[in-house]
Amino acid sequence: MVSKKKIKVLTKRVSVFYGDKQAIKDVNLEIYENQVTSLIGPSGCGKSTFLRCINRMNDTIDICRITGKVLIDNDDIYKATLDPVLLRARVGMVFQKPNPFPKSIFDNVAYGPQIHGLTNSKEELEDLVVNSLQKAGLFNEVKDRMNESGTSLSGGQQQRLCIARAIAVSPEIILMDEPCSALDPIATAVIEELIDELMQNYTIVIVTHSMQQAARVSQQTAYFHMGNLIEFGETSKIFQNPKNKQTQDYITGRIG
Amino acid sequence: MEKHIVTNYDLDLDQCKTMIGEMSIYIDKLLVDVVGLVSSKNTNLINGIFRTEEEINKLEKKLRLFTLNVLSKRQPMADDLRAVLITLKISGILERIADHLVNITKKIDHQIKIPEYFSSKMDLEALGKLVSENFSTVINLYKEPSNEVAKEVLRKDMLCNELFSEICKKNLDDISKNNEQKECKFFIEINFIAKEFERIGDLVKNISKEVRYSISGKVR
Ligand SMILES: Nc1ncnc2c1ncn2[C@@H]1O[C@H](COP(=O)(O)OP(=O)(O)OP(=O)(O)O)[C@@H](O)[C@H]1O
Ligand SMILES: [Mg+2]
Repeated sequence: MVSKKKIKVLTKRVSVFYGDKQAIKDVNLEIYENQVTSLIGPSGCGKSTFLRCINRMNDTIDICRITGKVLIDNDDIYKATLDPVLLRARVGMVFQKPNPFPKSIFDNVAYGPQIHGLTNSKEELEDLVVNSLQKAGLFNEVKDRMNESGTSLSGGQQQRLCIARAIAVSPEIILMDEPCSALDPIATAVIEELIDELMQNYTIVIVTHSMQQAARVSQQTAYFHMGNLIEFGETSKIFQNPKNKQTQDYITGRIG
Repeated sequence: MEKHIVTNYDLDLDQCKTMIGEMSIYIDKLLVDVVGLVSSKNTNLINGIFRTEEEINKLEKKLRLFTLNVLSKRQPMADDLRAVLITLKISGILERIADHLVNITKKIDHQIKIPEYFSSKMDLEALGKLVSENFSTVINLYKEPSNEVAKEVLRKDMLCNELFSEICKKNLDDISKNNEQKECKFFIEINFIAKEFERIGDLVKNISKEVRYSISGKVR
């Protein structure tokens, strides 16, 4: 099967330092458009750090320094003329712990489009909110309580609210850092089904501690160990027949 | 059956069934052709038989890769796990059935003339047909499990075994009545073919065992 995969994000020799400590070492990685790429590896190997390079969230950490290049659509996102706020509208993020604003469900989703001036009227904004909630598979559960606080929802609902919030600004890429770690298996399955659907319109990068989840949701998998990218390839190959012994030991539960 | 939350999971499980269905269509064809070859010695069938067997081998490989993917990707549990497991096992059985049918094809010696004495001719044809029939029955059982159909498979397999004993007995009689070497060879060949059909019958019965396992979760 020959499928033409378009590279959406390309990292070239990316290294990240926290002060003197190097957390990511010379990582070259291709992330394909409209696919799900998962980042796996032991705790502290640098998955979250690497993920944050893609929307320049590391900029917000004082001691953090990055070298190398990150290209989105072949365009350097660390160039001086690029506005990180606009970048973060193109590259949405969903965090491990659902973190809705302490505002209404409606406002949680409406906030992004408002500050980016994406809609011209109240009706348009309402449509966009409803549409985003539908895409996130949450609308039916909240349609009668749009004015209640986002924090009143269950964990799984909050996480889908955060996904709705992320997609409301029409990003091209969605980064997810352990989006299901606080959820039960059913809520997890709901999010995974959502990821399957979102993939058609977005490029998704997901950090997960569950190898099973990586196997289920992603087409590409990258295995990190102590800041190094050890192996990258098709998910089915990584989980059925990895090339690298370190990868094999990790996915079979032989090293911590 | 309730649907899974993840839609693609259902599609994967359906695909397992579809692939077994595809393989079984080829086996059906192979059975018809080999039974035809045995009763008519129509040599035109031979090339087609070999080609069909190749297709079956290809499908078996495809199915093995696919089920491996489903196992590693979906980590199926409970009845889903059993369903995927038996897909893998049944595809292996189907491949072996094809091997036995090809063995028959290779064993038939077209030089040997059919002797006038050939008392088990009808039984041999009946055995081939019964095995084919039971194969269709067991595939229906796989597609739509039912206790009734499972029992029917067992009943037909017993008939196969009886027919096989009958053929052996008649062959022995025929051999003792004839002392021409060529004819002896012919009856040995017939015995061999009957034995292969009987083996296929057993494999058909094994498929029904797999289906029963996937429903009950009990290994008998
Ligand atoms: N803000 C920070 N300041 C200093 N060091 C940091 C900071 N964030 C991360 N690190 C260090 O960088 C390394 C990589 O951390 P990172 O959070 O990227 O790992 P991770 O793979 O996401 O781990 P986990 O699976 O536990 O979330 C670790 O050694 C960590 O201690
Ligand atoms: Mg992390």
